[in-house]
Amino acid sequence: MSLGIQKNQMLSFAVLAVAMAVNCTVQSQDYLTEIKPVLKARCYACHGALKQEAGLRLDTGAALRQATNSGALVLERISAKDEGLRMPPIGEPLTVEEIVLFEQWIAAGAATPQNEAPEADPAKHWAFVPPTTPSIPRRHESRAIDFLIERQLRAEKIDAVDVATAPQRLRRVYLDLIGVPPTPKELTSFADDASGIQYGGVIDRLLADSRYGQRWARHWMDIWRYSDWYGRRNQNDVRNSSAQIWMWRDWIVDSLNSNSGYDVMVQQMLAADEISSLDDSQWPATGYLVRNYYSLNPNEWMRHNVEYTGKAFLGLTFNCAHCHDHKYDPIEHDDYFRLRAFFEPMSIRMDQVAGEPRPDEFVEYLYSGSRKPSLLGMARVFDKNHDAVTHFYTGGDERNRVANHKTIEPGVPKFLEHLLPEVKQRELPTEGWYPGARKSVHEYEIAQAAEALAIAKAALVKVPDVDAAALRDAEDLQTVARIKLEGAIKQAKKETQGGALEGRFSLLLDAMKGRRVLSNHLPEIQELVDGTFISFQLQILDDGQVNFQLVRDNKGSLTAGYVGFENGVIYSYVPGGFSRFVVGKYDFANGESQFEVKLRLHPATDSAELTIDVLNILTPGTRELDTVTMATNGWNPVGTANKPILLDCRPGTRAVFDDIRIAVPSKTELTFDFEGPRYSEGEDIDGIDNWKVGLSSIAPATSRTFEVLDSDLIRKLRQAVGGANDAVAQLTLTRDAAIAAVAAAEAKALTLEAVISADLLRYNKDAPKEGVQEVLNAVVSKSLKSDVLGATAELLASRVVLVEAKTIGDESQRKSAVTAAETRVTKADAAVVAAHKAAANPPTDYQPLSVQTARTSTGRRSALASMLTHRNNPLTARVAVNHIWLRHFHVPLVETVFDFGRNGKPPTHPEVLDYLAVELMDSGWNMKHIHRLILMSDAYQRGTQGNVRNQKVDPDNRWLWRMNPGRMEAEVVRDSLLYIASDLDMSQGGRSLENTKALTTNRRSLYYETYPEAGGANPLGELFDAPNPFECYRRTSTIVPQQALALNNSDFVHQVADKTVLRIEKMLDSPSDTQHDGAFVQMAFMVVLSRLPSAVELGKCESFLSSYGDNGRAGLIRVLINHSDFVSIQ
Amino acid sequence: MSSIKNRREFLSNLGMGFGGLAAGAMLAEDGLVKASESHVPNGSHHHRPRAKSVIWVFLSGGYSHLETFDPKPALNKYAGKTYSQTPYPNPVDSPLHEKRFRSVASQEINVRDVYPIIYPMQVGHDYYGQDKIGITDWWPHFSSVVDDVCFVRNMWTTDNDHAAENQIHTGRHRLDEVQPSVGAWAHYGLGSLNENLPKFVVLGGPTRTNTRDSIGSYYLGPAHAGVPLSIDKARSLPFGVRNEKQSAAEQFHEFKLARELNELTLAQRPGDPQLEARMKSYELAFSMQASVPEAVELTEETEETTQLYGLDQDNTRVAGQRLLTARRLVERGVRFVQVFPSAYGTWDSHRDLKKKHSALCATIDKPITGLIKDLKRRGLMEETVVVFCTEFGRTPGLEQRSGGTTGRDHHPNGFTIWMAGAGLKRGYVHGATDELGYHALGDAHYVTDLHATVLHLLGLDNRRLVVPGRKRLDIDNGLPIYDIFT
Repeated sequence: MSLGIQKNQMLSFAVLAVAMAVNCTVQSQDYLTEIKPVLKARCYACHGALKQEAGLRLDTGAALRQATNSGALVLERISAKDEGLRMPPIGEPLTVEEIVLFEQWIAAGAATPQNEAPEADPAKHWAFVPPTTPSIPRRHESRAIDFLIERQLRAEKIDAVDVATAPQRLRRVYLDLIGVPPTPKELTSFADDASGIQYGGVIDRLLADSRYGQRWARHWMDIWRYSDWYGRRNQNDVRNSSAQIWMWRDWIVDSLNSNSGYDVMVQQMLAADEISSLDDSQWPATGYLVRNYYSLNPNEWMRHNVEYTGKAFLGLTFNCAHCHDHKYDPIEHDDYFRLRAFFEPMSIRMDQVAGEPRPDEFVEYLYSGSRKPSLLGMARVFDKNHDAVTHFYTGGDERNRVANHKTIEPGVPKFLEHLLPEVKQRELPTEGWYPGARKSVHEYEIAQAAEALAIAKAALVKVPDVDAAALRDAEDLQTVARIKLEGAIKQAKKETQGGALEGRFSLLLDAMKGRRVLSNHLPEIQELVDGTFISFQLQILDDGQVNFQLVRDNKGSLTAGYVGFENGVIYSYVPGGFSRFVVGKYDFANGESQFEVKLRLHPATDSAELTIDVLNILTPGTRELDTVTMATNGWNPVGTANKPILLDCRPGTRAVFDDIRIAVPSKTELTFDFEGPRYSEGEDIDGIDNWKVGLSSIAPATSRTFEVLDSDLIRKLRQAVGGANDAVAQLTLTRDAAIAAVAAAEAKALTLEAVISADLLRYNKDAPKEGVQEVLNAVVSKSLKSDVLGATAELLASRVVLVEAKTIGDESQRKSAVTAAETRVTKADAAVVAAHKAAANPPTDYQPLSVQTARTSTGRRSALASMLTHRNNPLTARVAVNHIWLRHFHVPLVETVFDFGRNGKPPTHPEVLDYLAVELMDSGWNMKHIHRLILMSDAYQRGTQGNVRNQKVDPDNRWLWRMNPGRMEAEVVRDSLLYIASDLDMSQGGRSLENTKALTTNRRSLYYETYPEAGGANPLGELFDAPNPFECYRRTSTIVPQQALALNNSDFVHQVADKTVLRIEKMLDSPSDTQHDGAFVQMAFMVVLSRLPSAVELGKCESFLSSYGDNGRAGLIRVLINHSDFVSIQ
Repeated sequence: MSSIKNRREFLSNLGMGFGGLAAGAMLAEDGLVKASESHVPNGSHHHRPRAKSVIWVFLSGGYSHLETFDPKPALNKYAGKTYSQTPYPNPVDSPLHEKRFRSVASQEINVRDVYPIIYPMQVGHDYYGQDKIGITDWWPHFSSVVDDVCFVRNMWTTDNDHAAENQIHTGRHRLDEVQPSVGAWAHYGLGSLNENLPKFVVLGGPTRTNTRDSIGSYYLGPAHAGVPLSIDKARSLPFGVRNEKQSAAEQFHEFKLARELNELTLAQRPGDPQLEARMKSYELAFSMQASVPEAVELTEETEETTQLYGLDQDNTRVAGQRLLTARRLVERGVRFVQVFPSAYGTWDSHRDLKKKHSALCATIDKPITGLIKDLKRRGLMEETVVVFCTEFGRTPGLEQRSGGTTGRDHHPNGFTIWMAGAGLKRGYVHGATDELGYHALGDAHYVTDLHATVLHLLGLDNRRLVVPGRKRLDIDNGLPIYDIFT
């Protein structure tokens, strides 16, 4: 890039210029302030304790001088013009000022202080060594936290402040554990207790309160990146996370309330499908992984799984190793992809939830089109593709795949490798890979089938009997209508030439006098193959003799095969010869005059299968007349005009042909439909489309196209017949439909039973293996029969609807209803055909009750989870207790909550951290135990008040001489406001609620939507630092004026204030109290601020009330809500 | 330690404006990074700033560079021919075509057709200013201020659909993890001043939530996201208006008592920084209730000014109001104003390009010219940067999808933006596309170069704006367009 060169030139000029300008000597103390920080930031990653590229270490002056010719080499390389040589190789070059300082320092002899220690061995980094319990004298064991903190305070010569007041402590512990303040009653009874025993009791009670799970779930949801679905909200298009993710939230709440171990929770979140494959209550746990899903780019899903798992559980910034070896921690570039390999086989499955219908299947990457959020099912992960390859790439861009890079196997950085068990493939129980095999699914489906049957039966009972007299009358009318129509048609045929068969035009061979022969040598046909299909429609207007021929020798008038209609008899040739035989009869006198003739040719056996259907306009439906093998005697039109097809109409006969088709499978399909514009009405077709009048023709017979017969009279009569048919149908249809519905429901229930018992049989390890196929066949046949019955029932039901639709009075309503019903009938019709077709061609297996996925899981994620929760894992427990500590003390022990690596901050109280980490693990990862240890400590119970001396010595309260004041999180602000108004709905669980309703409805805040797009936080949440759903290891806590505006101006707060006034007035015992402002003020303080007012405060509030006007009490509540102590936690 | 503490207290006592006590930045400052390695901003500049404020005008939908600021006579000459029938090399064969194409590895998605038939310019053009800079005839007003403007004609991006709107603001294709928007970086880098207006204000958009990333702050935290202000003063700020159930006197009473009670508490906990900050924030809230509506109150402007921005005409009123408001905001110290003069996708001209573009140019021509003239005469041009941009250009070829014969498709391979104001050359053209307007040539600029340029003018080096634990990729770190600086 030319700019790079430009910059380099600039650099060298500038170095010179600055070097000339700077005129000072660099001394060894400057090394510590000016040189070493640069070396550390830019060089140590490759030339320090972590790595020694080119065998070079630069982490002590001595090593540097010795290995780089007293620093000359360093100077040469950091100021090299050639980008290939310049150090550091990644990132911006050192600045001109930095280079000049190096030059000065090196020129002055590269002096460094004596006894400079090299960088510590990364393996000995505090957080990479497993925690051990610090030594604590026996008498202090019960108060280890305080012992450790006080020892530090003594060393720093700092005196801790006193314990906070009883109301302060109570409010603190309520807000911390259950997220709402104590009630006045709880405050009063607690204040009376001076022993301290009651405090422990309160903690136990609150930890056992179901509101604890709601409160702490929200904390862990921050760390584990809870987010409702997002993508394109305004288009209702899910791209990220999942619409079912709320189940994971509920799982977190439940797990906390039942005091699941932290280790178990981590394991379930990563691998519930593998380790709890029979316990579907645990499956929502994998929502942790589902949340990261991104439908546009699979790499993005994997990246998030890697990077956030690193940060949330291990406190390691794997994301740095996305592009290169980690600069500070022993995580290699490869390690990033090795961690990814644990997740690589995953996909998402939608499982049926107990008591709910079967959900749609999960759609993976969909680039165009829209994925609608679905209400049904549970989204969970499973290992789909065991062979998924993890690719290594560079620059953080998956397009830069490195070909021939060694195979990436699942793995963890070396310093954690000893904790990782062997990755072993796991067999899954049937319910694991086949969610439809679960009992809850069986129960639901059986209950649904039984209910459907009961409903169908009840409906049948209610269907009135068919009115026999009415039916007879209707049938009479139907007969009359038909006769009239037939008569009209007969008349028309006499008068004209009959009606077209298909489309507008048909071909009429009129040989009332003479004979007409037409042939076509089919030049388009290139090859005759087995299965070649020939069909045509034929209507005989005047019965005599008409036939269709496959010609053997056109010149010699020899026939290879034929189908002839002669005075009620159908003839053909016996296979293997030329002798005529009767293949069927037709009853012309009684209206059998229209036929569809079908021939399937088998050249190899020199034969054809002949099928003839009668198409009779007066008799709905198709009746099969014949299916016979006939001779073809070497007929093959390919390449010769001498073997055409031929139509022959003998004297005294009139016949109509239409829709002549010749289909050579996967080759040619020819159709002669005699339609325009190639054919026009009344024209003899001789010469069109290779039709040729044959030599045997005798004038005056003709072969002409003619148009459809469609007189007004016939149209009217047809309608009348239709109406009469409807009338008959209307009388019987309802009953027929109801009977069919019962039959279908019965068949469905039986099929379901059969499927379930077949499932139990075939997927039960101990079941006998013989006879299984017979059982399957029986189920298949039952299921196919059920499908036919179901389709038939639907067809009848749709016809009922159609009949009803036609009776609607309002025309436009009728039209749209009829159209809809007709669509339904058409669809049902097709379904019946499909069901019959399927039944004719039975599959080898039946449809299972859900998707079936791989029967094993790779075991990768459970291996990863067991590494994370291994007793010797140095990081997991420390990271977890640090998060818990942060949420009690508002400041963590390790400031960098997601980075415990060498670039993170060291703990302020390493021994406290380790003590708690060991306690967590040794108590069975019992989080409530950790809460109790922390909350019972004196450190936690101290006041927040300052102290002039301490403030000077330790202004940041690093040594915990007081409690850090905190601010309510967004959820606690809203919940507490509703709670003081006695208006907070504490009920648990369920789908996420809309943020737009958060200020007009009253569920706990954690049940409202959280997502990163616009609208992803409620309006109060927006102002009070709602969590960033992308990443929120620690909440931000701002103080902005908009918060004051919301707490003053919003309807929400005005309503809270009004309701709180009513609540307080109810609480005041006597009517005189109710009237008495002083009592009101006192109770208002208790309710809103959890304490009594001082005398001065009381006085100010009373005079406020007396001078305010009408709504002073609500005004006072608003004032107290806007008191700093309401939103802060002291 | 204590100096950091002091700064924190200092800021907590003062910085309660919009995104005031930006704890995101504060946490990073105090804890997450070691000072020696950190470039985490503390509100000071990395180098001498050339500008104080930015007005970033974004035209959504993709205006045609060819019919605006990069006219190409060759299109008229070869109209109706295919690329291969011109003396110029077929741009589709250029390695640039492959290089700038973006897809998921092994899965090519959303590949649009390359339209081979050259579509002539839909408008005439002429040459303006001292250096005879070509622009089209649809800019009768703007052509008079060309000597104040610096064009960049070799921009490119990679998304060929409208998610490019996010890309030009965040630097990332929609297939990648989003990044903070350029406005959020400016806000983050320069921290907050003690003022009761937001520092990063958004006017008129984004009108679709799927382009909300273009004002978002992602991992920088919500405090750094753009604050959409309505130019309707009655609802310019959430909860910014006194509740109708309460009189002004009542509200005053309540504020007074709250202050007194907080003071009593402060007396018991002297030096409690949170309490002091909150008390201060209440005073600000009261004044903000007035100051935000004041900032968007255009009736204070003279008739001559409102006419300058086209407020008196229907087709220019909306853009004019937003741009005039933008000027009022930068006058009042707002750092970054992102203006959407029109709704999502407005400029998208797959069909009827001539009709659409001629009408759309007319909606913005007068207001944007008015802004430049107004900034100039008020001396604000010396401290303000105006950016005028869109998400991509439009194809030199005729769009033929669904039988189209009158428009151009999306074209990420080359497009034009312009800038004007502090620290920038005037009457200058930087870079070019090829003769047919297809590829951006030379050291062409990916969208993050534009970010780096703007941040550089504000005194920030985008490479030094880092967040611990967040590795920015090379594509995120653009280079300033040094050539256009004075």
